[in-house]
Amino acid sequence: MHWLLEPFHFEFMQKALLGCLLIGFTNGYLSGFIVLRRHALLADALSHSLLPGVATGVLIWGLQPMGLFVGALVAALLVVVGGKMISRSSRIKDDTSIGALYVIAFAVGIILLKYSPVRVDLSHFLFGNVLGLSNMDLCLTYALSSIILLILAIVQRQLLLVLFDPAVALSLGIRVAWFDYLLIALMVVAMISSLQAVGIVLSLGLLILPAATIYLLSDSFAVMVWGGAALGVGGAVAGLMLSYWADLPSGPAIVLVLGLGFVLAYLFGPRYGVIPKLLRPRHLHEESMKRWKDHDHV
Amino acid sequence: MSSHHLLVKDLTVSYDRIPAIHHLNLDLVCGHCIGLLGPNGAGKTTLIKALTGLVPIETGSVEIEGHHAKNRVGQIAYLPQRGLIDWDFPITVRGMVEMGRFATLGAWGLFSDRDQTIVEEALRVSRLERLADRQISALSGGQQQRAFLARAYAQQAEFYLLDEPFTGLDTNAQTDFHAILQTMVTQGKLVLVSHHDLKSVPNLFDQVILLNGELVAFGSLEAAFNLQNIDRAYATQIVTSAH
Repeated sequence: MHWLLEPFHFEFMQKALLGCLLIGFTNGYLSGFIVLRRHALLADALSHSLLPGVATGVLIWGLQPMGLFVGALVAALLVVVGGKMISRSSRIKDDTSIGALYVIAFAVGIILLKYSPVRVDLSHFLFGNVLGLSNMDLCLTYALSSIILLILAIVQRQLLLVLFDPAVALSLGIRVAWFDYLLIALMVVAMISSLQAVGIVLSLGLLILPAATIYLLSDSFAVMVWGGAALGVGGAVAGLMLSYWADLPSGPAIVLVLGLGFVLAYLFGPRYGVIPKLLRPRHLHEESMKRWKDHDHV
Repeated sequence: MSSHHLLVKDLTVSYDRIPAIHHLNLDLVCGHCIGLLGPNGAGKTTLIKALTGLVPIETGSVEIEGHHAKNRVGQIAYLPQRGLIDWDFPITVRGMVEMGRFATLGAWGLFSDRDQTIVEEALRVSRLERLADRQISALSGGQQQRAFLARAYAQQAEFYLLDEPFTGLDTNAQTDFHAILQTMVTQGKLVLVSHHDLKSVPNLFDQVILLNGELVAFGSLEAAFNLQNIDRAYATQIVTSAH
C-alpha cells in the first residue's frame, strides 16, 4: 500500500489526482458518444484548431486559464462553423473543408506563438503537464466537467436516438443537426478542460480510447458510457502512478496505459478480440452440413 | 376497428425546384395494408419522407384527424431501409425496442411498468421474445426488419410507413413479416409499404397506390391494380400473352 499512497503526500500530486479523476471521468463518459458518432477524426482536427485560439489568448491575456479557454473555444467554433459554411456553399465536403481549415489554423497558431510575450512551449500545448495544475485550472476543469455531464444527462435519450437512427429521430421531431452541433461543442469544451493537464493531442486519447476499448468488449450502450468513464478514471490514475514511479512525462504515460488497454481488448476481448476469434472451433459449418445431409436422407 | 384518417392534400415535394411528387391527394384509412408502387424515381421514398416530415413540403398538407401531422409527433412511425443503420451499434433488440418509447417519455420521464408492458407486447407481436437480449448484429435480415417494426409498434403509432421492407428477404422471411403486418392491420393500424415486386402485390396488400411523380391510381386491389394503371405508372407496354 505504501507505494500507492506515497506519491500523494505531495500537494502537486493530490491536485494531479483530482485533475485525473475529473478529466478521466468526463472525457471517458463523452468518448462513448464520440466513438458511436464516428467523430474521432473530427476531434483530432478540432484539437489542432485550438492552437491559434490559445496563442491569441496568450497574446492578449498572458497565461490565464480563462483567456486560454475563451481563445480556444472561439478558434474551434470558427473552424467548425467555417468548415460547415464552406461545405454548404460549395461542392467541397465538410471533411475536406474542416481538414483544410484546421491545418491553416494550426499554422497560424504556431506563427502567433512566435510573437507571444511569454515563452510558450508548443510541447506544453500538445502534451500538457498534469503535475503543474493550479487551483484555477482545477476549478475551470471542475466547472466544465459539470456542464458537460449535466448536458449529457439531460439529452442522453435524444442523443442515443440521433446516434443510432437519425432518420427516425428526425421523424419524431428531434432536431438532429442541433444535437450534432451540441456533441461537437461538448467535445471542444472537454478538450479545453483537459488542455492544461494532458495537453491537446493527449486529451484526444481520453476522448477516444476508453469507449473504443469498451466497444470491443460490450454490446451495451450503458456499459459503453459508464465503462468508458470508469476506464478513463482508471487509466488516468494508473498513468499518473506510472509517471511518478517510472519518472515518465504524465500525459503520455496516461495515454499509454489506456492504449495498452485498447490493444489488449483488440487482441483478447472474449467476443470481438482477434485471438479468441482465431481460436474458436471451426467445425460448425461441417457439423451443420452433416445435420442437413442426414436430415435430407431421412 | 379504428377509422383514423391520414389525409394528404395537394402535396408537392421538390428537390432543387424539380418536383419529385406533385399535387397528390390521398385519403388513407386505418385498417388497411397499402402497397406503394411505381418505377424508380416515381417518388415512393419521397412520399414516405414527406409524410414523416423528413423532407420539406412545397405545397399542400398532411393531416391527421384535422390536425397538421407535425403536431402529432409519434402518431406516424417511420421504418427506414435496413442499410441506413449501423448494426454494430452496442444495443440489444430489447434496447432498440425501448427506444420506441422515447418520444412519449421525453428527456426525464421514468420508464414505467406500462412502458415495459408495451415493449414486451411489441416483442411478442414481432415474434422477437426469444431474441430480445441478442445484440442487433446477430439478427438475420428478416429479424432486423421485425426489430424495426417492434420499435415502431412500441411507439404506439397509428400509421406505419415502411420503405422497401421486403427487399432482400427470402420467401419465408417475407411471409413471416407480412403476417406481423397483417396482425397490426387487424388491430386497426394503417400500414403503407413501398414495394417494387409487382408479382407479390396481390398476396401482400389490400389497397395500392400507383405513383409516377403524380398519382396514377389509388384504391382496392380490384379497382386500382390492373394492367392499364400499371402500364400508366410504369409507362411501358406490358406484354401479357401472344394472340
